[in-house]
Amino acid sequence: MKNKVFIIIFATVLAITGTVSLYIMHRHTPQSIVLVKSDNKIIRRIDLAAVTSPYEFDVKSDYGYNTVYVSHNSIKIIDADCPDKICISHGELKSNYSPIVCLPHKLTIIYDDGNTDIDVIAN
Amino acid sequence: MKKLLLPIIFVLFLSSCSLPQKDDGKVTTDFYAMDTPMILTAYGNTASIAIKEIKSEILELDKKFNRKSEDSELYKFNINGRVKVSDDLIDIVSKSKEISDATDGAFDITVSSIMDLWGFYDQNYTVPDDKDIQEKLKKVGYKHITIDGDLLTAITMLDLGGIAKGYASDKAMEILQKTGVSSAILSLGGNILAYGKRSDGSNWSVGIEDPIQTDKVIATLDISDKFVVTSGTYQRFFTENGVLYHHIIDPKTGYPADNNLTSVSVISDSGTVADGLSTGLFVMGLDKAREFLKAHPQIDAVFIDNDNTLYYTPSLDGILKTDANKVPLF
Repeated sequence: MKNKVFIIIFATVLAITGTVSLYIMHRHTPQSIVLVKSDNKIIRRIDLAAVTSPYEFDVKSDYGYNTVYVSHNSIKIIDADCPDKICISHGELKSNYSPIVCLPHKLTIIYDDGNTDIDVIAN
Repeated sequence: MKKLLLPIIFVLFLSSCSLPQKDDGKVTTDFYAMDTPMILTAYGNTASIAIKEIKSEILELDKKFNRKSEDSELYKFNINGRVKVSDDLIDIVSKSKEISDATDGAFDITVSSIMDLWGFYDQNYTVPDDKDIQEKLKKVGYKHITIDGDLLTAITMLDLGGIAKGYASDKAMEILQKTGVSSAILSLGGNILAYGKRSDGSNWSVGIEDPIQTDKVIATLDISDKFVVTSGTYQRFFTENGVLYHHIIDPKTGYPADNNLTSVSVISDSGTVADGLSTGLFVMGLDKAREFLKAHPQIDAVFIDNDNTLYYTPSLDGILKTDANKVPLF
């Protein structure tokens, strides 16, 4: 009888830990590595989680310039000489399927291999 | 003791059989085509073949449908107005005409001269003289396009920008099916194909951009095997004397559609239909669109107005998730 109770408890604990493990392995956790690409070439790889003090940098190309603002877990374009400024109005990078894009300058900022709760954004 | 071994083995089996595969065969690529970034992701043994083929197909279609490239079929057609063209061009123009018919001309691929007048092509934005708009409107209208076999004729220039990405996404789905891919998520410049399910078996979560705070998502759709396309005023616009002018032109008036809407997302089994209707339903406005959607129950849509209230087709209950105010369309 003692054995039986022990085994039932053991099986229950196993089932619970298995379920929790599965949840942890399956859940979508935000990634923090972003790639800054100019004309499809990676020019910077930034770990946003590791950023402690905000900073800016310019990406200059034959097409023009974009000023990128980086802070803890956040990246956005704050200035550019492109005509439409859509890259600025995009705001922060929020999903790997909604990259920050400056079409006139062929600049893209995208998560390296991001998994977020939202897979993709229709826009 | 032996009796108890069975449940233990059963529990262990349950735990192990649903463990995620570490290598789920994910293949991703991103590139520029059709004036926008494309991000393609597929899973499984045949994913790399499928992604390669889809990329090649999109680039091929871009060569044909590019309005600006002198080498494209569409460019040559727009210069001549009467040209024998490829099956793809005939197909996309035919489908565009069908959507125009269904929406009573709210979606129309002949508005390019008006778009040009407003400066939406070269970003030299300006509010045109009404006289110029009325002059250009004389040649606007999908009924001016005729198809005779492979011969395409029109009295005005065509712009496939409002439907080409949707058409390409339909082609992409054909390739996914042909190559045996069971799970993929494609973004063709924001036109989404959520194919199959995530690797953990759950539905894909597709976000709808907040038209007011475009760095945020206002709602999500939990879907599988669907296309989602959004048209919004926030995507391309300019302001002059405090007035906002957006790029979704009403083909009947030649002016940006003015109906209190800021965004329309269409969910459909066809990328071409979703793309065309996202513009068409936007131009129709909420009341006409409601009647249209009642008559076409296979199509779902989410409308967002100036107050960020969401209006949605009732079959999206349980699929559409949002903290914003939401109202069923009917």
